Amino acid sequence: MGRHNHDTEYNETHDPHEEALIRTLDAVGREDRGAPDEGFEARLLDHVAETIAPRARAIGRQRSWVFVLQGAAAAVLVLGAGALMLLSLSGGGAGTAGPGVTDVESRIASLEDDLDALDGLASISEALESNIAEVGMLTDIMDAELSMPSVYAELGGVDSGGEGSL
Amino acid sequence: MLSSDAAPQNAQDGSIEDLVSRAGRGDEDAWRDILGLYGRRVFALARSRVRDDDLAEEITQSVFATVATKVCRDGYLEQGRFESWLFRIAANRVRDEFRRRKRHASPTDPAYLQDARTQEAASDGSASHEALRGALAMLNEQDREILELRHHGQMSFKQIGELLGQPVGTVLARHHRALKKLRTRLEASDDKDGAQHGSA
Repeated sequence: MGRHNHDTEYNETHDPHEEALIRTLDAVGREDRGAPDEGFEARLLDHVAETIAPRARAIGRQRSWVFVLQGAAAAVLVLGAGALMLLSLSGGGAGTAGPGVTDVESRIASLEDDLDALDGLASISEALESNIAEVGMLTDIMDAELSMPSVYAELGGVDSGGEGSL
Repeated sequence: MLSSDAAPQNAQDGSIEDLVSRAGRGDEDAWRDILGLYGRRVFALARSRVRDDDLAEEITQSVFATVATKVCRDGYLEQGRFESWLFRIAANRVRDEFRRRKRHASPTDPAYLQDARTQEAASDGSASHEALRGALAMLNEQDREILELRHHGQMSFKQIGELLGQPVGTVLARHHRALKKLRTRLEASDDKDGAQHGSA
């Protein structure tokens, strides 16, 4: 009975009828495992991918939002700093270096405040996207598996089939 | 990918858990390995009971959809007992479907008879295999399930014990009793066939 090689010792029997029966059971099991065509695993993989896809899509959406906000913030910072530097340089040429530098610093500080606000928006956006993804996933699960009572047991911990009583 | 008649690759708990961990992070190769290891074993469990390839595949997909949902949403809490957990889901699903079909089709329904004939014709098993399938179908659910978990699902007795929440010794005794009942059913079936041939 070497098929179940992980605990062969349990299957040893001196009854030839029982041995023959176990061999036939193993052969029937093998026949059933061999029944699916070659595309079986690929179809299963597709199904699994569809099941977990909402999560991947949600992560993708979150990332795209964050990237857009970060990109916009960086652009504002670069353009603003450049413009202020030009302003500062032109002011310095006119002999008013002191007030020009102060003005640049205050404007940079103001831009940094704006960036902090943008960061705040990004985190709110992430939270919103996460919640939307959760709701979408729950809807998918309910749609796909409402017809199977044991799903309630698996997700909710209720024993629908009474396997412990077997 | 496992070939159809490969022995179960009961990897060490650590490597299975590593595989499950990677699968939880959406690693496609990890999912491919998991499906290669367990897909056909779950399918066989379902096919033996429902005797319908399409439905068996549908059940298998449903089982892995549940597994994927739990594993990818951090709801997987069965560290070290993945196989028992997976087959518990599978056994519940198969049992639910089998009961549902029994409720909706009686043996005298034309659809049921047609279905049975189709499956008989589709099966390329030998006569002894068909006789054994018939005898399995006559066992009670508990006896049938332990034999199918063992010989179709290729589970170890230890894993079956974890699945059922029973000690290995109890599982062994139940398996042995189920075999004896199966043998009795087969012998009764042989006697009946012999008597019919004798009277013909």
